[in-house]
Amino acid sequence: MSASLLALVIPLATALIVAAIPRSEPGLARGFGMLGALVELGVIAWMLFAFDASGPAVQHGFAIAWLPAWGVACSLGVEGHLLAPLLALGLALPLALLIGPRPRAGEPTAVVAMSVLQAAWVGVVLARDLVLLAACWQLATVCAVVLAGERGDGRLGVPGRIAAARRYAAHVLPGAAALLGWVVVVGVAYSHASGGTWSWDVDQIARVVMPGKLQWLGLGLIVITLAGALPLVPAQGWLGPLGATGPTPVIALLAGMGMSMALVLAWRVLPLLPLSLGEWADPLAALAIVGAAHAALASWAEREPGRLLGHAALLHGALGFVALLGATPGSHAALGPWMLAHVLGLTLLALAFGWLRRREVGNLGELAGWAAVAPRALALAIVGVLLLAGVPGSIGFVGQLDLALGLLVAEPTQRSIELLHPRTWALLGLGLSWLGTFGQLRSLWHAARGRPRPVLHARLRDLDLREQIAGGLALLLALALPFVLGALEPRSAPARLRMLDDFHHARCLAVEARAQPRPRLREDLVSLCLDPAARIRQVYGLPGAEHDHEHESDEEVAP
Amino acid sequence: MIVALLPKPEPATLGEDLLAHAPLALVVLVALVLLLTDAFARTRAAGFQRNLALLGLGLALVPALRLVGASELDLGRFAAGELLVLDHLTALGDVLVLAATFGVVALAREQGPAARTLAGFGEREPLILLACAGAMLCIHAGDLVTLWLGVELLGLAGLALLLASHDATSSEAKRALLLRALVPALLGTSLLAVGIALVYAALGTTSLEGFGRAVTRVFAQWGGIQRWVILLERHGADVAATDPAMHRQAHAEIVRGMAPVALFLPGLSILLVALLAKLGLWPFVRRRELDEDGPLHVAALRSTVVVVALACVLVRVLIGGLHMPRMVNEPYGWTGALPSLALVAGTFAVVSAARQRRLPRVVAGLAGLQVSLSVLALVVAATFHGHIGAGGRAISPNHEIVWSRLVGDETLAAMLAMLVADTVAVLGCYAAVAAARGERGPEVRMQHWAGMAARRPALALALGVCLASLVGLPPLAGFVGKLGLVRALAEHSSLRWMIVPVVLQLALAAFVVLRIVVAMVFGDEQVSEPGERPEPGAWPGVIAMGSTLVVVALGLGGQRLLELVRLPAATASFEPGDDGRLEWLDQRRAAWAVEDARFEASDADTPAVDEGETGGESEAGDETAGMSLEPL
Repeated sequence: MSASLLALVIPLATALIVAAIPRSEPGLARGFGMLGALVELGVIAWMLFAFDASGPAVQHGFAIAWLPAWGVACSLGVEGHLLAPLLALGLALPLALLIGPRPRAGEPTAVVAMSVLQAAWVGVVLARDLVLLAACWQLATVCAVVLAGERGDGRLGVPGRIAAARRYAAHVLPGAAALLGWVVVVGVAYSHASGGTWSWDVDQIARVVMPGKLQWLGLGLIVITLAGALPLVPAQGWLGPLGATGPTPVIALLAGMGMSMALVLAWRVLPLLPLSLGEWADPLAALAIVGAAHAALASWAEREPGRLLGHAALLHGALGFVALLGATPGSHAALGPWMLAHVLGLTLLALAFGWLRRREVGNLGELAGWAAVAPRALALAIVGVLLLAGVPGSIGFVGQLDLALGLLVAEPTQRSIELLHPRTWALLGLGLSWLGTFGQLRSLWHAARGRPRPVLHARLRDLDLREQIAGGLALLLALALPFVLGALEPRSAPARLRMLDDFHHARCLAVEARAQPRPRLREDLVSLCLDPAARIRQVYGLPGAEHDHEHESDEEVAP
Repeated sequence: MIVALLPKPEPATLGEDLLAHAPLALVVLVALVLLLTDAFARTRAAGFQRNLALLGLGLALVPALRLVGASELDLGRFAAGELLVLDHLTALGDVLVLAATFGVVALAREQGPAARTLAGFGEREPLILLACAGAMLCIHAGDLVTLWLGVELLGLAGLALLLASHDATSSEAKRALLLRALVPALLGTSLLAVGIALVYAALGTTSLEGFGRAVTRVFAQWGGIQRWVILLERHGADVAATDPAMHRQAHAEIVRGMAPVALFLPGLSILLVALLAKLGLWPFVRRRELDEDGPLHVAALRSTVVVVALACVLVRVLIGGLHMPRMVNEPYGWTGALPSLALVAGTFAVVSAARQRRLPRVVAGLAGLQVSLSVLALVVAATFHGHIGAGGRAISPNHEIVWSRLVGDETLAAMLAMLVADTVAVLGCYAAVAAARGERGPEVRMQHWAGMAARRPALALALGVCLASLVGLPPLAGFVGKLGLVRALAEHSSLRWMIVPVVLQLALAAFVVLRIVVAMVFGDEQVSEPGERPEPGAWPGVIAMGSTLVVVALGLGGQRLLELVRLPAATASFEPGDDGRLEWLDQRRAAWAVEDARFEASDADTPAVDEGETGGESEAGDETAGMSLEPL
């Protein structure tokens, strides 16, 4: 059996097994869930280290026809640049299961939903067919919405949780539907370009050079998807309420891994819209930076721990999106460490703030002397914030460093040709990140210092053993993962470079063929772009154009 | 060419016609038998006719299933003096209607508290079977008169079903419901009759055989008088002065040429409005919602059997008879306002579902959305068959005609796939509601289902899966049809913008469904179903679980679902008996054979792609081979 299929099936099998466990055995349900998650992590680890750096672009392949009449196949495979997200996916669920409250009635249902969510996300990373990708994204969205409303109803529920789940659903469901719409649009474009052949295979779709109008429509639909899931301003409204009222493991999953998966989705689908992405990269980066500014300023005023977590997630998410839009080897190299830091940092914050919420502390301003009564919980919160900010020695630092190198100090000819002002966006992003980090640290500092009130000792007992293990494990991973990524780098780097070259080639062709009324295949236009990067610089008047030899191809596209 | 040389088949005898329509005959026969047993029954235990009705429907399903995909239906034919039709569409419609009726009979339960349900109402099952017979008449209608009879039988049986329960008229609200249901039904009936009369006046026939040709003749006649119109416009005064006889003749010719079209266009419009009203499309969608105040099985009947029957009628009349460009295109075409109408109806339905707390109404709202999407798919298919879908030079002109026929067929296949999937899913939803322990099915509110996953996980799973299929969640059956619809919209140069509202409607529907799922899964278990109510029998639960299995199986095996609907879809744009059907089917079968071979090959050796071989272009090229125009 292919490893890709195994990675998809194991969480589903875990879900089936856990669903069969009686509700009266919540501990058993979580135990089986954890076991399944660890087996999945093992399979993912094997996939990572069995990936042959000198082998084909897509490995661990599996394919079976689903709707051959419409060219839809259930095909899976992993590309080198997606190894780090896959690793993050393998780590996220075990950590989330560890940091939650003690198992209680209803546990099996939540574990089932989490396992299915993991399977759907694995599908998003591995899918080689765009319909399968959209289907997995829809399934993941549905599971996430269901999980966000866990125990949010009735007398035993958490007040405000259902409202937060509804808000989350209102933000992400249109996006899931829009993604399907986009997939269909590109599939139809491929059919028109190829003379009636139907396929949603990613490699086949990448051969299509779509006309300008279709690219704008596609970008619009994808932005609807990303706006809710990433999230982008003004669709970030679900983060705060979910952080404040959601279940702790679900917050860690949705804010940590969910946002990372949105970035993975963008990484996979945006290169298929080279023209519109190239021309709209700056406005999109501006949206992300506006979100970061909002989060950075709010971090100074926010006292509710869950909302503070939301701001931290938004702040860090903006950096990742700017790195993606930069589309340079350096900035894309930052994405893997960025995702891992995002997952680990937000898991630590969710652990610490969930612990506070269970002890009915809803305002950090009223909490004085935290350091004296529960120093370990405070330490984990601070470490989480620093990890997201990129403290040296951690996985977060690797991400920030790659981003800075990729966007700030590259040679003119190596600079981003997607972002017109890569340095500006990078400086703003990093600056705002540190501004927000100081705000968060200030809030934690205010909560930590001083003498605790007498009642605080009774309410705030420090983390229990399981929570300490979870925190320690996350900390250990944050320190060890740079070395793991170092080992994976030779496998990932060629894929990233290949993808960027391919993207620039596609963009160049799209620029040349933008006035074409109908989609074309690359093979029809290939002679037009001998030096894609130079041609793009020339067309848009970017720095470095004068160094390149003049592009001679001003000829019209053959009808 | 070869087909044209083949000898024409002999006209079928009455016995052959009867045998070919065995399912319909069996249903009518069983309905009559049930009426007799009802008349002579003494004890009349609750649901005492159910098993007999189910047996009869099971018997009728056997010959109906045998006809699905049968090659003898490739050509199709008119039967019983052109009153009935037999082809692949009727075979599929029969099976769907019979299966849906089976489910409706099985999920029907006695109304009211246990104390008042000692004696059963035996009229219920024969009335449901008569409605089924009406639906089958609609599906088989080869003449507008047969269509009218079928629609009326279906409608009247449905209305009578509202009465066939213990407390049907026990309250002011129930009596008001009957009135509310009766008035629009009578209005729809009148409109249908007027529409058919006008069409008859215009064409001189109500038969669907040669319907398209008759319509073309009417328009040709209209075109023929244009010279007289031009003459009078330019030289009317001179002609009147110099040759009054010629002037009178010109007037007479114009009136004679114009009259059929002047009758036909309003007739067709009225006919269409009446059918859409019966279907429950906006602004009649509110009526559908009000119907939910009635017994649950009536709501299920309206959302499944009625929808299937009228959808088949629309396909037969509009796609089969009226897909020529002039009848599809504006300003005279029938497709003009329909997409907007379907959009408004779907939005209204899904918004009303979002505001509801009563599960049957939520299901009815979602079913209304499915109807609107089906109508949208029908319009898109018709416009492709009318060759106006391409535009924008999105495809090379030499392929445009073949392409538009192919896309038209595939859009119709998507519509039929939606019809199959939604019928099963809606039935499963109603059956799951009926299997709850509420006193009356329609009174089961959402809060009664809170925590249902803990109390009755199988029932909660069934409702969740069927609802998820209705909103098109992959990999369930509903996804296949909706993917096809969105694909067709993306292909359509002038309706591409509709992708956005359609996906937003589906997103809102998903929101509605998730609200229920979250309540069922994580809801407070203290809020439970009302206690001390009569226990439902085993049948509703069986139907709910059966529907769930079918929805999952048809989703995972989506290709099988497409294989089920592709024959009716490919032949629907031809009149029964048209030789063009066989030629077109021969071409299509060549392409399908490639698809089937690929599907079976991938079934046989699942790990078709070995490690390290995926990214190769040659392999991916093989994957898509055969889905192009080459087999044509």
